[in-house]
Amino acid sequence: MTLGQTSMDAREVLERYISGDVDFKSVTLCNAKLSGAELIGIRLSGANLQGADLLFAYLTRSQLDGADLRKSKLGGANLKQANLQNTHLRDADLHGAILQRADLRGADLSLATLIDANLMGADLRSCNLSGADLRGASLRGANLRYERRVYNPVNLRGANLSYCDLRDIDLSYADLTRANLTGANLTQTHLRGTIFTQAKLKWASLRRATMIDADLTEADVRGADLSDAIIASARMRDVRLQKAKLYMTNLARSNMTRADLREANLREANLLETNLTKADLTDADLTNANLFDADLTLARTKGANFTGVKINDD
Amino acid sequence: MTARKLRSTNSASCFDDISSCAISLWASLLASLWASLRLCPLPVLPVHLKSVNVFDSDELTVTRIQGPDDLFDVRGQLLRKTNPLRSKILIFSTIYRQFDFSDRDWMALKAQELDELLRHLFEACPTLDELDSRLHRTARNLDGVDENLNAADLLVRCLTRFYVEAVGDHRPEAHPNHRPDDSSQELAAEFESPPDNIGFGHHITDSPALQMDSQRASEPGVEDDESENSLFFDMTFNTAANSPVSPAKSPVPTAPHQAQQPATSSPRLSDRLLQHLATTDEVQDLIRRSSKDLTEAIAQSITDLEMNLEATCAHIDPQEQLRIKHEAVSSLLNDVRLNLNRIGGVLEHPVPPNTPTAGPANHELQQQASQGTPRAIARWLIQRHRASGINLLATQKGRCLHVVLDLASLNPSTEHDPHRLGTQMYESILELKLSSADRLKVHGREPGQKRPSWTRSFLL
Repeated sequence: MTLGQTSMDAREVLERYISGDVDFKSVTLCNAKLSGAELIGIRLSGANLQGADLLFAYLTRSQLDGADLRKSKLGGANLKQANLQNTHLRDADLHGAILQRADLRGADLSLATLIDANLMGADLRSCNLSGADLRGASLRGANLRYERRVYNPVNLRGANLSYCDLRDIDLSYADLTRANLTGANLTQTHLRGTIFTQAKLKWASLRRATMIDADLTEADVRGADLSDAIIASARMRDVRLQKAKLYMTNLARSNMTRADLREANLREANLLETNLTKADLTDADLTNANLFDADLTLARTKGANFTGVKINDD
Repeated sequence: MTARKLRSTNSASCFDDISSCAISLWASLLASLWASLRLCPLPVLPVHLKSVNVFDSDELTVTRIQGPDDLFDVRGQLLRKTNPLRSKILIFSTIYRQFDFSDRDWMALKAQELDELLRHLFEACPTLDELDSRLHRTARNLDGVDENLNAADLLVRCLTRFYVEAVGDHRPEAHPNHRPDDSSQELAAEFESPPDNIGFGHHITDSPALQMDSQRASEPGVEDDESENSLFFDMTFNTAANSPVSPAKSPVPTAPHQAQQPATSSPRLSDRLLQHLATTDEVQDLIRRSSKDLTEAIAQSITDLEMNLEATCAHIDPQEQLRIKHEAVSSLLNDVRLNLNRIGGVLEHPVPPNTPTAGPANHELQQQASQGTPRAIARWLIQRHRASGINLLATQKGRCLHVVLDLASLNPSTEHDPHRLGTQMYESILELKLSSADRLKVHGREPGQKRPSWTRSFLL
């Protein structure tokens, strides 16, 4: 049954749904009051649900692809395994929503509220999350992978990801310019070529992360834990790494010009061919670090510990 | 509808279970002490706290815990098993006042992440008892009682660990929960209900009870239990295989009668006796939690089944749907009952209470196993490979003995190599000198999978 561009009110939808009709493709339901409604498996592809109130609604396995949900209220809604491909969710409120294993490919989530949302195992490829509020959300096992010519890198510019659970996911080539990742957990995350320009990564955990070719220019990484991470060939000009843990970190061939490394722990770090020109290494601990072919021109090294470092013979 | 009812009775009985359960002696004994200690899950933390003082003042707002032992996993559990927003509303209503869905309350709720709310909750409830009762009281006053009670149960379970650890960790400077976060302080003040008075009880920091308890906290198992429980019901075959774990616990409940000693005499008891009491409590607590986990898992399975049915039967008329659902749920319950009976069957051969050491019990197990009953073989194999934590099933088809390994139960430290695991099993089976089988097949299976991910065959 096709309905074309039919306008409906919430009661009509509920009545028809209860009588067994689940097909509501392309209906117009602007500002509908459907909070707490049980609409499991409903088909709302291409529907206009702008500003709809779907607080705590049960939308498990529903089809909302291409639907317009801008400014809708989806707080605490259950969207487990829902199809949200290319859905317009700009400015939507998804506070504490369940989006576990939802398909959000190509969805527009810019400026959306996703505080404490469950995005575990969700498919977020090609997603636009710029300016989204993802504080405390969990993205464990979510798919944000960039695939050439198929899926664009995820856009997370200016998003708030503080205390977010981002463990083990692939954020390669994603744009995290000016994003806030304070205290986020990025343990073992793939971050090849990821852009962290001016991002806040204070107290974040980046242990064992792969950050080859990443851009950390002017990023604030103070107090973060980067032990065992691979940050080779990265752009790290003016990066703030004060008190960061860089134990056993591989920083080979990275550009760390003017980096602030005061009191950083660089024990056993690999700084092969690293450019540390004008870097501040005051009170840093470089015990057993590899400084072979590293450039320390004009670097400040007062109080730094260079015990057992490997350097060129001359 | 039937399923709905079932669900509610389930959670109701679940709740009774907790409230009736005598909560530890420790809760009462050390209540005042707990009040003074705050959430400190991470030993690394004091370093962070100290180091942060060097930064300019705005740094202080971000002093939170990182690392594997912080709240990421607790939050993960809550996000996965409950409705995150409902959980937040539940905590908010517990520590401040009933959430009234006004704009003002929404703003306040958005300002605080679950992480922060959890820390405030921990601060507001100095004892596990209080946490439990306050959460449940609030849960019953909010919409969606079932879901809230589930959330309350889960919260109590997730936070139990921190109450135990908080006591074990007697460094007075370790107050990680004290985030000098201006905004949240203001917020708390705005709600005119400051956390219950905290800070007395410092004087008993050096009491013998505390020293003992620090030993207790160092005992393994509290955290493992959590992860083990989450395996339950993830695997279809696991119900039967889990039971053999119980013999491992058997040496402990030797002193149930001592638990009835009046609490007042405890400070004078010897450390040994205190240790016993603590162990008994811990065992009871673990059992309680496991049982709650199971009940919850069953309730969850029923809900899932119901939802699946709803989706698949959407086209059928409601009357018929109801019938299908009813049948499905009762057959599910029958299946579960059957599995439980099988587990009970294993327990019918209890480990003799007077053999606390593994040696004789192991010998007996081996004797039973060498008679060739697959169940006995499975028990013996589990006992034998305790170090690797492996859980397994054994069955026999014709002259071939099949051993199915649950790969998820393996300790992360042990190697996952199919060849090695297969040979280990083979070598163990050879020791039994079985006459009933002449071939052995070892299968490795991931949780949730029907088919094994690898198989190795051996000739006996």
